[in-house]
Amino acid sequence: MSEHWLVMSNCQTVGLANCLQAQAPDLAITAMDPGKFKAHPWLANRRMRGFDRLLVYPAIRQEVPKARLDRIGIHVELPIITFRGYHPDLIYIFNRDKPLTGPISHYHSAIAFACFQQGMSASEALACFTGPFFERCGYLDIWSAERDRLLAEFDAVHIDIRPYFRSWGRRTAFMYSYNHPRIEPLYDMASALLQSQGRALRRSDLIPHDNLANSAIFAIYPEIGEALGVQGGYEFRSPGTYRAIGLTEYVERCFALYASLPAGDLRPFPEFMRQVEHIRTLL
Amino acid sequence: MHRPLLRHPYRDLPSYRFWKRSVSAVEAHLIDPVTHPRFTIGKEEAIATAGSCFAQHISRRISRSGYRYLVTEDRPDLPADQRAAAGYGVFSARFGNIYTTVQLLQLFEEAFGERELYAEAWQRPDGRFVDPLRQQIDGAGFATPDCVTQDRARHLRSVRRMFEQADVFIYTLGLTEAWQSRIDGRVFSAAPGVVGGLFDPDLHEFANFSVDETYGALRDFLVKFHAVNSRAKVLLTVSPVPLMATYEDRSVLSSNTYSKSVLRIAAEMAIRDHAWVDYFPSFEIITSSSAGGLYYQTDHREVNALGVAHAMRCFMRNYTKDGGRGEDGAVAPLYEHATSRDVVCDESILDAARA
Repeated sequence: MSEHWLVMSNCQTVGLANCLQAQAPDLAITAMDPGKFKAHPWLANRRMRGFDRLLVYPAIRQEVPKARLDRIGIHVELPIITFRGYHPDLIYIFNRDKPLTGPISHYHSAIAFACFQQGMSASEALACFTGPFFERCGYLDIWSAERDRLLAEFDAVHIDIRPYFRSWGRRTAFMYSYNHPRIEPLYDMASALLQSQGRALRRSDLIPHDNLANSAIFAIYPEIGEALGVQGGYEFRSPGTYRAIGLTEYVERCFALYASLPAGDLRPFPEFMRQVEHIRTLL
Repeated sequence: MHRPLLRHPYRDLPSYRFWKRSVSAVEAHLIDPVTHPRFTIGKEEAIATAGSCFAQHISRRISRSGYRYLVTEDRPDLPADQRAAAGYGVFSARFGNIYTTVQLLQLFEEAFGERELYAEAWQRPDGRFVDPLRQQIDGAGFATPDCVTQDRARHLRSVRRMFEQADVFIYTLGLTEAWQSRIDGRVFSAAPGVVGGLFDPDLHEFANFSVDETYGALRDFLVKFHAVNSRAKVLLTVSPVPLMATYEDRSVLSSNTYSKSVLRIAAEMAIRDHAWVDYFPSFEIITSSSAGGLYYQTDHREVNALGVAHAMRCFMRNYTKDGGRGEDGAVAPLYEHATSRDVVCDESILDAARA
């Protein structure tokens, strides 16, 4: 092996590491997400000197303050793939100061939350999930701005995913949620990353398994999918299960959860405040 | 020494005139080939539609968006399913699919008394009767030949009102192949014997219209239509739905290419001749290599919902006064999303992701 690389990122860690390994047989790639480090920190730290290069998503450093990343000589900053085009209704909510876990991980519906805050019932909220209402929320107009934002974030670390981006959404949505890409974008990101590191690529159609297919999946609302050229559906999935829940169950469970908590403790993340307020004005 | 500036006719042309910039560089669902719409439609204007089945998508979408879809032949008293089954509201009048321009011209002429009322009826195997010029408008058929004739007369009055009242007439050109009468050249809506009647080679013949015949009929129709309704505008489209079958002794693929090519040329000739006629490229949106067949159903013939949605997005954006949008929304791209981006998924997700 010419070099040993360590990949440390969020839930994209394993998929990206697999994709790097598949395209660079001369490298040895190891994946280590924060949870894996925390499970055996001492053992993990003992291995650090064995890596020639660390590919790290910067926010991970604070998640693993005890990690002896300084033992690795070369650090490369990793971006992550985030994209809101398919899931413009997906927001995060604080419960006091912590992200609130709902029926589908930390993902919440801005419409459902706005309806709850407005004092509506779950069944009244369900009636808002229509194409015309999504249009009024601006949900059908966000693709281009999100694409430009994503490409700019990769440009900033000199990883050029532009040649790949256009093919990502051709047959299916390329995201399972705001921050869970399918494996194809991660495979292309791995290509661009290897190129940025001056490495030769060995691309083929034998791409690694799509490990985030079994993670939290937020529904692509049918009218939004249709506007983006992909099949949508109200299919929400929790991590580790292939049993989907529909919109009704999802919204009802969200409402039950919100009602069980002190109203003053719940607030959207700052980037979603205006969106929730806007939706409330439409109700 | 200064090098001379390269000068050629393609310098400084807009992006939409280059494949690389307007097709290769654009995500498939964002491609929009409409460049200079000749008119836009307001919500107060009456829109009539006719043509092949693709025209039905247009009528549904404009109705849903609050535009004034003109229906002059209707039975609002019927429950919605019965109304649709009886062919009401599918198009502006109950003419069924008008696949060829020759049919369109013949309908117009008959409605305005320039052609004798067609009074024949064909019997179906179940004993019911159909109108040979619109055989599939009503699955129930008609009880007697007389009922067919009476309904046809009623229908033609509705057609006349439609042409007189329409502010915009949208016509989707569908086919060049047809079956017609050897006696008077009437074009039937389907081959004799398929729905009703009996095929008789002495009475019926196959026609595959040429560019001259197709455009000739379209040109005559446009001139006559403009004479009775000079304020109306016409929007032409070519159906992206391929031929179901060809009577030519060759592959249906080749016949389809011929047919669609003729229709596209006829539409082009019409917009060159008339400033009040425009062409909407739904055919290009659905069939282009950039779509890669994604817009067809598994039979590779019927257009799927994604394809229809794409064509209709382009239509609404370019041909409606409000661009198909009611108001601006408030969803912003996440330029500042450090809080969301840095949320590390909970352990259950990381666990699942490691599998």
